Amino acid sequence: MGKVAREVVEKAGVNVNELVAKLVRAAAAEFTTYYYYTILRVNAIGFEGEGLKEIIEDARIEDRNHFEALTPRIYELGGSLPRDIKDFAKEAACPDAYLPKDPRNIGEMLKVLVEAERCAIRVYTDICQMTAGKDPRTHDLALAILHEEVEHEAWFSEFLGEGPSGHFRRGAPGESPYTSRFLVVPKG
Amino acid sequence: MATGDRCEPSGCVMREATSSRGRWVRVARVEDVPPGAVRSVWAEGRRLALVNVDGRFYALEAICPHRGGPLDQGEIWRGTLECPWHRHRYDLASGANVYPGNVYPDDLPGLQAELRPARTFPVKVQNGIVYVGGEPAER
Repeated sequence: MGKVAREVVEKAGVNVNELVAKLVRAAAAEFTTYYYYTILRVNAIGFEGEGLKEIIEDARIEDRNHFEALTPRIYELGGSLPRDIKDFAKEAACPDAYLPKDPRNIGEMLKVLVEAERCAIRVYTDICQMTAGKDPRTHDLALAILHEEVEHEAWFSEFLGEGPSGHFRRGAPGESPYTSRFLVVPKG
Repeated sequence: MATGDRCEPSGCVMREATSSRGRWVRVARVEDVPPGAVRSVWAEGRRLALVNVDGRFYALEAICPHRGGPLDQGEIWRGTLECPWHRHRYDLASGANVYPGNVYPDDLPGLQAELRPARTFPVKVQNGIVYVGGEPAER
């Protein structure tokens, strides 16, 4: 933990304990989403599912990247991940993205995916608003993740036919164009 | 405001001198809860989230039935109240879990316990004052 790193954020008027709690919940949501998206991905089969599979895979890997990028910041600010993963999972900032009862119902699967991404957008918007002008390092990180979550929502939303495509696809699976610079071991 | 009442940016506390079952309790002035706002108020010893959506008021118990998050610090999202901790969303009138209730499968045992409804309370507005019923609304 960096003492000054935390001190300057406190001095800027941020409730650091509350911020750390938000970051831990966000990291938990990324971790659990990575798990649940793995199940959704393997079940995305058939005429509609195969097209969706690649998008789920991009979002799945990028969510794991988000977990990796958030964790160092939690510890820098004096926080920690729960020792028990069950406690961690329960604290997730967003509900779990369960496989629908009928796994062949791609419409239901898309509903789960879109809701999960919309939840993530609200989580990171909240962290951005809390840290704007006060904690540039956390703000920069949360904003980078927010960029990717917004794109994930667009992918799934477009798959549902909710609007024209923004062509936000990735060159390589899960390349995290905004968040990769925060990763301990940069991609590529 | 009556003596002893107080209203801060985080919410208003306006207690009646006495209370009894079913009594209407003054909780806020209308102007203290502008449209789109969520305020923390107290009635009959309960902390409530008082919500104004387009001039219509709703009151829900402030403790999220999911994991105890502060609903009175939540936000209105598409006509629902969202808990800031785990983003569960509740219907303002019925308290029903809207999200993730809309996507959780019904064949996994144990998930229904995660979707308990929030308790709602009747609300009335009279002469610029918002009153909340002391007992939860019947479902």
